[in-house]
Amino acid sequence: MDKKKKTKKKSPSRIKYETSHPTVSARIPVAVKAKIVANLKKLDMNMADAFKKLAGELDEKIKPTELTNKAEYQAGISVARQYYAVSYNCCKCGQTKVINTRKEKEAASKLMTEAGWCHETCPEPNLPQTTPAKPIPANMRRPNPNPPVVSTDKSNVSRDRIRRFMQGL
Amino acid sequence: MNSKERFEKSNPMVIIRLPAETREKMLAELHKRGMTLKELLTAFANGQCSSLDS
Repeated sequence: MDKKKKTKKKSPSRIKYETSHPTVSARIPVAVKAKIVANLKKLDMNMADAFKKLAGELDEKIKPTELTNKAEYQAGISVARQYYAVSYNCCKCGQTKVINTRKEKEAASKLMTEAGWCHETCPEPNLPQTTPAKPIPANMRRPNPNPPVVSTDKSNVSRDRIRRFMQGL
Repeated sequence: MNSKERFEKSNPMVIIRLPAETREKMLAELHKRGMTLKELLTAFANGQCSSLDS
């Protein structure tokens, strides 16, 4: 009864898959296995990929997109780093370190504030923001071609109205 | 723990399931090189497998 329970019935698709994909196996020391795993990680491959490559199947035709995408992604990251990453040299070892942590950012902000960094477009705080326009002297002014008609003569206005009315007729 | 169990613990089994065709090709390649699978894995672990490094 127990034996029956232990043997799990395989699905037809599983049987089909196992017959079409047989296993290869080897017993190797733990240290060697660890080295293999590390090497595969470095190459960004798994064990099956390594064997496929050995069999000559994993050539440029089969696995190009994944690799090229990764390469492009890395290239993009390096360009972005070049433009946007702010780094400084470690005072102990001298190696470059990118500003990442909150503390580093706060320290950088403090230093820049103390050094007097500001917006490029901002005016100097002591100078007036805008120089007032000088008034043009009367003799230098250009005469207005359409001067506003200011008249208080009501009869004149009514005459104009009549003229416009007559023109309309 | 007996010696067999100790051995099995310190020498784990590496099992890879491959398509039948690939497996045949791989075994043929190994045969051509006169190596066993274990030797190949050891060589790869020691960085001596140039075809995989490229």
